[in-house]
Amino acid sequence: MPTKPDTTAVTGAAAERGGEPLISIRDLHVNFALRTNAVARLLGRSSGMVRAVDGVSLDLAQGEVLGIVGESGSGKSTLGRALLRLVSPSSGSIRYRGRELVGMRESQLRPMRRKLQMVFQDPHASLNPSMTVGHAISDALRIHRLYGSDRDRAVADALERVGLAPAERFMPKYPGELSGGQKQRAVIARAISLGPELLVADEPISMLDMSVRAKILGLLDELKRDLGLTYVYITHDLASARFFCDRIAIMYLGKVIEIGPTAEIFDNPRHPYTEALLKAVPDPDPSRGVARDLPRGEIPDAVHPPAGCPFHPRCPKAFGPCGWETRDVRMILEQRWTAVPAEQYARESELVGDPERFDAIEESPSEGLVRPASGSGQDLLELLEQERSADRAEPLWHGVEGMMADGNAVRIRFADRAIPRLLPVPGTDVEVACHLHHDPQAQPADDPA
Amino acid sequence: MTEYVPIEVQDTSGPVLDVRDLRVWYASPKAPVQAVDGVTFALNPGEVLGLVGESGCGKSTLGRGLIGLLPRGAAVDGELYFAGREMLSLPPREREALRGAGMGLIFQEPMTRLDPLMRVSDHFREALKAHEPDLSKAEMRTRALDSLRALGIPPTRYRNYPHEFSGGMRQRIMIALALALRPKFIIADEPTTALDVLVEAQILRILADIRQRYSPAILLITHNLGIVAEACDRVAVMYAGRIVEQGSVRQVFAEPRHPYTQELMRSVISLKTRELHSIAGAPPDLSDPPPGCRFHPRCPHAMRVCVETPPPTIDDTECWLLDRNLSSADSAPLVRSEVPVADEA
Repeated sequence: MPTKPDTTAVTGAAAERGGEPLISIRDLHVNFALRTNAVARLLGRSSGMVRAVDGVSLDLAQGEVLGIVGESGSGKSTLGRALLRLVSPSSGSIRYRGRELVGMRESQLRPMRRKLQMVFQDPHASLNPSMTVGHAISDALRIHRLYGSDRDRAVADALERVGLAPAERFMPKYPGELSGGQKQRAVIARAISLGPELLVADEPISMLDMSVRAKILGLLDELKRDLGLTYVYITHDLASARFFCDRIAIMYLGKVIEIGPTAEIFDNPRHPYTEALLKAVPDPDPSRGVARDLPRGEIPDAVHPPAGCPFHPRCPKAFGPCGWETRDVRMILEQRWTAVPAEQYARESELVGDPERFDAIEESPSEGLVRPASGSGQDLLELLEQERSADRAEPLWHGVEGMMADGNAVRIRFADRAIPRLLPVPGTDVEVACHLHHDPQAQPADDPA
Repeated sequence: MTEYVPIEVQDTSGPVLDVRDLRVWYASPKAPVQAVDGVTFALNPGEVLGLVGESGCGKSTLGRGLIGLLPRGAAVDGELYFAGREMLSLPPREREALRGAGMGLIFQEPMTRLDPLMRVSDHFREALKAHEPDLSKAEMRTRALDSLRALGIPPTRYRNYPHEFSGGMRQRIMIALALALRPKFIIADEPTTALDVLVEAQILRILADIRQRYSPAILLITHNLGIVAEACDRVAVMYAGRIVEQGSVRQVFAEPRHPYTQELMRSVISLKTRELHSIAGAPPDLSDPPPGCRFHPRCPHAMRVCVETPPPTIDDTECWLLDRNLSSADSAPLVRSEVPVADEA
């Protein structure tokens, strides 16, 4: 049985000092334009944009397993696909052994793809149902110009390497005749048949049954040792990442918010988001009970990401400079209304009006002006002050420097905000993007873009 | 629309649900598939029972069989008492009336269960109208808002459409819909599988909270032993259509008796995993299950008797290992060839 890889093995940071990284990513951006109607585009109205990957820089040392961990919508899969140029980066650089992949023509890229392969989450969707396993692998080899008996041997080798032995038994099988684990083995066989250096594995065990997961993870581990592969292991599952990875990058809304050696990340999580993820993993230990103090809400809308630190609206440890803005006040009111009696909600919601419009009146980075639907600014101010004294522990109030009635509106003054950058923690191999660890005043107030 | 039939509660002290020797077959081209084959368990008021097993072990079929939502072509046999009343012998209309009012169901994929053209408010109105037609409009609204509020959905979102909510919020709405009818019994079929880690933890916390508020009995169907450990009082482990072991979560996790439970627990990858372990072989074809104990082809402790005779139930565990009166011939270890990797699941 494979055991936990030795954590004292070369970590990325150490390898960087030793030699050139296999892959080097700098300030990578992948933007997706939102679809709008043709008329809007003709009139030149700007359509929305999602920054799926928002300024990621990483180095990947040869033979390393880098885990990219995040929830859905964090951009982890897009980052993995961008590495193989399956999506086109909007800007930034990806160097593979010193060669720039961003902007490379498809014809030049194709020979590189032999060396950069991917394993997807759903093995069933990754295999053509009308192609036998042997044919599927052989086809990949044909595209990369391997012919004749060499090709047949390569197919058989790959199948036996992943445990689908004897190969003659599996070559004529259709995907429908294989179990989930066998299908994923076939997909891995196809990926390694070309002799890759880097394997990007995007949730390779998530769709499999729990009794099979360990087998496939063990296989990936074995292949790493036998073939000297380098992995990018993309997952939302912290437990398998802990077992399998040398280094881990935690992503949130397109940004890496913490990165470091696996042991450091798990034993001493620094970002409150990392801490929350670790606390939330259901542990097969009945004495633990349900986790209670977890961040509220869910990953916010990526089209309009929060100002400052993207995690601040959910963060239990957020404070002044984290990026508070008017829509956070709305969130607090909605939260209040899930707790107050129905009559009080009826009264207060009539005063405030449609919360969707609550933040639309006037906003600058330091100030917001909110107008109640009915009643005076004074009424709204009283409501807000009441909420403030009811829940003083609420992080938002650290970011509100003052509130005053201004005619029929309320002016809310926010603390100066800064965007946390990913910076090294002195004395460790860890980098974290959080104001709790680095002086906010030394960081930019707004995104340069 | 269904007519409302008041539930006659015949027995309030006993278990909410009492299942005896329940069987469910599906028709298939070859032979009938015995998806659930003789399952017996009881669920007490306010109790959460975790039902775990690999995919294809029959756990979802069992859930659907309990609530009467099996597809056509499925046959059910056995006894199923809900609040002291036998359900399988009831005419379909009466059973249907009980579903929803007495029993709630929470699915894995909330988006596919909510109607995209109906506002949240319409969903509540439809459910309440069908099962409690005497409620006034205002009462319905209050009931719905109470239920939503308990799940942390702001009342401001009451008139929104399902697509305006995130995945976690939709699942909360599903739970709120089930709770608005104040059911005695809820089946939650993989309620968090489609959700992210943090949202999953939020939903588990909510399930724990609603137990204190409404105390329904919950059957939580999951493949995740971590969720069972955190959220359940008791656990039933299912393999190839049968419950092979059941007991309190603490007891089963501390001292699993059935070899399948032991192997399953060892194969879980948790934060404490330092060494990988997996179960050899694959679950059997349920149209042609192996003779004797169904786990014997994969069992590391299989004995000769396991191949021939189905195991007895001792201490809520179906296993020959617990029988101390076996002859030495019966308890001789089973000799067999090793399972090749290729035959695995």
